[in-house]
Amino acid sequence: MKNIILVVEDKIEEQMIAKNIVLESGKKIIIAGTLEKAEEFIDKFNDKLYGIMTDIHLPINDTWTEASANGLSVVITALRLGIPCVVCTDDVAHGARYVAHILSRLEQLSSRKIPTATSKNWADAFKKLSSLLEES
Amino acid sequence: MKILLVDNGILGGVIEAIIIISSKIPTIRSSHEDALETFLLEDPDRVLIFESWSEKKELSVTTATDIRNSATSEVIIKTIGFDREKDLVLPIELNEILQAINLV
Repeated sequence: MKNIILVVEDKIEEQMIAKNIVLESGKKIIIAGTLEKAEEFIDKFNDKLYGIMTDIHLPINDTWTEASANGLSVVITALRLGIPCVVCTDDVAHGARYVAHILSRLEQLSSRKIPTATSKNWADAFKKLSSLLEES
Repeated sequence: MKILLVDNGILGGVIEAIIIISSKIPTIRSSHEDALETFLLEDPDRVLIFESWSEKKELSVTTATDIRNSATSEVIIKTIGFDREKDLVLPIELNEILQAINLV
């Protein structure tokens, strides 16, 4: 049964907000604070994942750069494996507006929706993930 | 109530036997590697993670963090460490174990 949601987010306070929303829905949650951990969890729980809610900007060695929009890798992996994925980020905050363009291009190439919940609105992200699954 | 013991070694086996004999509470055992998967599958109420300071400290911290991240606030998670070099036999008092999982 696919009842686990993977949340990819590095900030603990944001992780807790997402966790409460997921647990209230009756789903189970696993949380990855780094890209490496997210990849490990996707490998391990691939067949049990209901969906993924991911931040886009994950720090590299605790520093922020435009190059740290590495959450896009999570999105691409989700598309490749057919796992529903919603992006929960504020792309402007980190000066990486190109992320929106890349997501749009990925949607075109994969013919799949990649909904985005801005300003770290996890409730909206969860709602969009649920809608995505209902549609499919 | 259900308990998850994270330690597939001899110590885990001894503790499992102690808990089952003394309390008859259903107890599952898993390795650190499979701990999160077992936790999600079995929904235990108590999780007891054993760590050896000399060998698996980092692994134990990761296991505990992953399980805490997935657990509701009702689940009690305890980590017990021991030093394999100093504590040659059973390093933990029975009472300490039972206290750790709120059985006494």
